[in-house]
This record gives sequence, C-alpha cells and structure tokens, in this order.
Amino acid sequence: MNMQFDEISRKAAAGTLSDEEREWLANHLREHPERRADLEWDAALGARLEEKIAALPAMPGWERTERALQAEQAASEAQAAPPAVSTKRAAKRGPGLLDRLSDWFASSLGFAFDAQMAAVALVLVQAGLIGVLAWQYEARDDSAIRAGTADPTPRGPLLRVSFRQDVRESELRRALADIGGEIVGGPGQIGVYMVRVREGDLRAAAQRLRAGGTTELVEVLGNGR
Amino acid sequence: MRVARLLAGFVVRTFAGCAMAVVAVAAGAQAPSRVALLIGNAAYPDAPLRNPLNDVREVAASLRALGFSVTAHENLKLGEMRETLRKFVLGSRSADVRLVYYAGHGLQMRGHSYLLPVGVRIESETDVLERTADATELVEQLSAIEKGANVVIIDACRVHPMFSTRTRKMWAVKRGLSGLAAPSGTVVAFSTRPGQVARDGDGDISVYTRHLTRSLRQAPELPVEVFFKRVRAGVVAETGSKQVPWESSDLSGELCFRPDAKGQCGRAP
Repeated sequence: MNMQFDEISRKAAAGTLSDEEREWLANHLREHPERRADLEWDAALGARLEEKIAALPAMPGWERTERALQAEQAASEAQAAPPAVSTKRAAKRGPGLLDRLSDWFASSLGFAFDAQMAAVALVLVQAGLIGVLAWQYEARDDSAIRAGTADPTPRGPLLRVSFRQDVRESELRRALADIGGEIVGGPGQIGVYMVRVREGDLRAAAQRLRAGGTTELVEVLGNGR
Repeated sequence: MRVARLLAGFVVRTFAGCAMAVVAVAAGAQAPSRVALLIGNAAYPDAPLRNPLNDVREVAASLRALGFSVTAHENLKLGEMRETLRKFVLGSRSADVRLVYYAGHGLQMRGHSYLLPVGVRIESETDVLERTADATELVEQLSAIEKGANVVIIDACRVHPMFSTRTRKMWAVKRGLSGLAAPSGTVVAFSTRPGQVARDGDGDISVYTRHLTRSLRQAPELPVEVFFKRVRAGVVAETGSKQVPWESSDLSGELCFRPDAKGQCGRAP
C-alpha cells in the first residue's frame, strides 16, 4: 500500500499521473489525510530538482569536453602565429636567438623545451665543476712538480770547467771520476760546465783537473754559495 | 875551427831563440787589460743589412784609439760565431774590462735574447735554439768571471722579414730583444728598448752606433752610466723619440772608457 503511494506520489510530483492514478490518490488522501504532507514534500522536492536541472548546460558531457578542447587549441594557435599586424621593428626583429635555438633543437633533435633547459643546466653545472678543478690545478702549481722541486742553482763545492774541444767523452768521464766530480750544470753554447766535487779538497781537485790536460778552464767557485 | 863556429852559431841562435821565447811568454802573460770583441753581421740572404759592417769598423777605430785590444769579425756563420764568443769568454778572464759589441739581426724568445748568424734560416722555435748565438748566456758567462767588468753593447733590434704578420708562425719568437738585467759587474746596452725595433739608418752607420762612436770620441772619460745616457739623449733627439736606447747596469765600482792617469773617471760637464 505504502509502495503504491510512494510511486504515485513521485508521479504526482512529476506531473505524470494518469486519471486512474489521480482518482486512487484522491481516495487514499481522504482515507489517510496525514499522507498529504508527504505528498507536498515530494512535490517540493520535484520542483527543486527541476530548477537544478534547468541551471545545468544543455550539452551532454562529451560534447562539452570536445568543445573545450577545440577552444583551447584555437587559442594556442593564435598565440604561436606571428601577429598579423605588428610594428615595423617587431617584424624586423623576428624570433629571438633562444627561440630559434629552441626550435632547432625541437625540430632536429626532438627535445622538448624542458629537456633542453635541463641539458643547459647540466652543461652549466659541468662547466662550473671544470672551472673549480682548473682553479685548484693552478693553485697546486704542478709545474714545480714536473720541473723538479730541487733548487735549479747548483749548490756545494763547485768548479767552473770548460773542456778542450777535442776531448773525447771517455776522457771527460775519466777526468771527472779522477776528482770525484759530477756535472750539475751546463754546458751552454759557451761550453762551460758546473762540476760539483763530492768530497775532498776543492782546490786540489781543480789542480788535478788542470794537470790532466783535458781542460781549457778550471775555476773554483768557492765552498758552495 | 869550423866546428867552433858552428857551435858558437848554435849557442847564439839558441840564446836568441830562448830570449825571444821569454819575451813572447812575458807578453802573453801580460794580457791586455781592456779587450773588445766586435761582430758585425750584414750578409743575411733574406734580410741583408747595409750598416753593420760599417758600424763594426767605426766602433773598432774608436775603441783602438782609446787603448782597447780589439778583435773584429764580420759576417760570422753559426759555428764561427759560437766559437768566437766561446774563445772570448774563456780567453779574456784576466782582463780588467771586457767589451762585446754586436751589430746585426737579433730576436727574443721566452725571455732570452739571441743573435742571428749569417747563413741560417729561422723557421721554427727549435731553430732559434739551434741556429743562433745566445746573448743571455753570453752575458751570464761574462758576469761569472770574477775579475774585471763587462760591457755588452747590442745594436741588433732591426726589422727582419720573419716578423711579417703574414708569415708569422713562431708565437714565442718576438722581434727585438728581451730586457736583459745586467748581472753583477756588467753593463748591458741595447740600441732600443726591449721588444722595440731599431733603425739601420739612412747613412753609412746606424743611428745608435753614430751616437755611440761620437760619445766615444768626445766623452770617453764619463762613467759608463752617464756615457750611455748621453748616447741615449742623442738617439732620442735624432729619431724624435721613435728609438730610445736602453741600458742595464750593475757595477759596484766606477767604469769609463778612458780613465785619467789615476784611473779615475771624469765628471759630466
């Protein structure tokens, strides 16, 4: 009984009652006047729903979405296209270097703009890293390591010696071995050697070298300097 | 009798020979106190110069007049030039004053100055080391001699076609000579500033050498620092400051080209 009332009540609210149903409803309300409030509530709810539905756009959902996409695409094309009417200066300037570079990357390499920016950022980071390493390399001064850290000025008991032009290398070696000397500098174009005497009397070594007859010049440079 | 004459002749000849030998040894032992080595190179096949030989002759005459023992060479090739310099450095160690004068082409590379012999072609930086005479080493070796003072005069900064910008391939090799700081006991005089080019001159001798020899004739008693200042003033005045001679001196004592009887130098007027 209640189910029938509910159904007929909804139809009454929607305004779709048949004559038979309208008669049944009238009889039922006479017998149960308390149900009239339910019927009025259903009618009010129906009216409210009608208002809500009327406020909604008439387009179904998919059609509305398609229209929105078309409108968005049209707006994007309008922004990308060069302005139909522009100032002379703007027309002459054209797209900027960055834009052309970006277009070139996008067209030839297929990189998206974000990917390009990421690549540029990576290059900048690498350049910075290389710069820091180069600066540290300069600061470390490896040239001193490559050239040898020893003082280039020979030290110790030294003789300045020029051997005769016709002296053979074996004679030169023998003369140096005789005084316990080693070559620590020279010869340049003038042909002067710096010879360090390891031990013993420097002047006696010089005298022995002169007496050997292999030299043109033997000078004592003092006891080191 | 004949034997006695032969014996007497032998004794006389032997005595005379010994006497001559003693004189020669004495002369050799008494080395000249002021010696000069002069080199003028002009006959460069690709860049001949007109004046260096005249320059050397003019300087030689001026120095001889001042009592210098002068050895002059012209158009030395590489081996000759190096050997000449070597012998001078080794053979002049007892002299009171050693003077080296060079006129010709020169160049610099990495802070060293090099003198160009005739008959060589410089096409690379390696050539510079192998085919030139190292002026920097010359100065260093002279200054290492404990006795005496050294004067090195280089009129060598003349224009060479190797420095044409179109054919320039040797980046480290530069025109002119490098600034050569005089070591102890040495005066180094260049005909122009380091890295600049000197003029060969329109006359028979270079502008620098003309003022150098003029000062040697007119004011040899001046201390060398004042003397070279006088030379510089003359060159600057004649060239309108386009060529400015340059000197570096590290003498502890006084030195002049003709000291008075007491060994003192004169004063500037």
